[in-house]
Amino acid sequence: MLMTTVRLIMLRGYNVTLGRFGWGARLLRKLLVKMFVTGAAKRPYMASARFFDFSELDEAASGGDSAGALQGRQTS
Amino acid sequence: MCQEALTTMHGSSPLVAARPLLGGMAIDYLPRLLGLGDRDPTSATFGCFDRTYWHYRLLDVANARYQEAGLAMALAYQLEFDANPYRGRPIMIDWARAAVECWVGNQHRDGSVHEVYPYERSFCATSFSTWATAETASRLADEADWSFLATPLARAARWLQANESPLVANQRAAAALALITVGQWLHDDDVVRAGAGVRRRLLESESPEGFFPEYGGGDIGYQSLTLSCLVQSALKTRQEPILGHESVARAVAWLDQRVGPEGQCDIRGTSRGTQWLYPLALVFCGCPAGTRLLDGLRARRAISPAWLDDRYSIGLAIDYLLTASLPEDSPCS
Repeated sequence: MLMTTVRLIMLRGYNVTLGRFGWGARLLRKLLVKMFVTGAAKRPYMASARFFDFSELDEAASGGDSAGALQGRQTS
Repeated sequence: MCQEALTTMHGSSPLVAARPLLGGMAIDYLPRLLGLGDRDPTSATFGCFDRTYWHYRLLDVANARYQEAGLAMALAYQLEFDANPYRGRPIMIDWARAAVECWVGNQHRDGSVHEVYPYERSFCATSFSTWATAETASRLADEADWSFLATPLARAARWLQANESPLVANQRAAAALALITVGQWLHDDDVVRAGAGVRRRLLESESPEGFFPEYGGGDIGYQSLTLSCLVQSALKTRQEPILGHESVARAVAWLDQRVGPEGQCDIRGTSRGTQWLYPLALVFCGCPAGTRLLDGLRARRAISPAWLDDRYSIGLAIDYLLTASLPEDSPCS
């Protein structure tokens, strides 16, 4: 779930009202962890992940994950 | 000496020495740049290089300037350099194309893009990212189908012709370069002429002291960026006389006085306080400041892309790659 303008406004609205209180901040954190990390069905959110790895350079040749990106490339 | 080098366009140039140094530094920086991008083709944000948006999900809009990463990948794909692991790797084309597609997806109907907030219509982001997009397509013209870019680039060119930023020279220089690059890509002479017009007005705006105005004053880093754009646009339109143009020579001389022995900038009295230097114009023109910058980079005391934050490092790395990609038969070599 990406951030949108409406979501950002709602989040900040909560942050400066109920989020000012310790219980409000803890509640929000619990909710966010459940939504994006422990309860994420597809790919859990890990801020420190998904950096570049040199093995990705060879993925296209071996038909790896990035092969789907080849649609736009012309054969030469 | 700068003026002489500019006027005669030959002489001892640091280009030969610069190529492996700047190319090597840019190549070393590239894993960081690639890490900024969403490289998962199954992702809805595939090709987005604003990690704060697509990965951290902290912002409601993606900064279009991060999409200039596509040009860095195109340049790395082509850079003839022994220790370049990215050269000829097809995946680099895919990622560059994905970056361009993402830029198109973020473009407003009027042709502009945003940098910081929704519906911003940023002149800076539209100028630089339009140039980077068109340049990527030009450089990888034979490697991929770019026909989908015709309408978005024409739209961006129309917006850039209808808007100008006279207070900020570097953005104006980027707009001129963008219009010329897009015009040549679209084979539209009117757009190329519009770019040349912006460039002429920029040259006319130079102060008597020799700086191009950045919010009312001169600035070292932005002056080097402006000159880089001017040199590139001159190379595109084959108007080398512009490089011997009095105002360009004066601008290089102004810069030369403010760059220390190891490429450090004396920012006292400058309008923006930038500390970095775009090397392309300095190296291309054989300016002593370029040699001093290279000395500083060799000694690891001058600011390189690795020193900057994500936002500013991409543009500087692109300039390093462009400098390293200059042909051997460049006028200065």
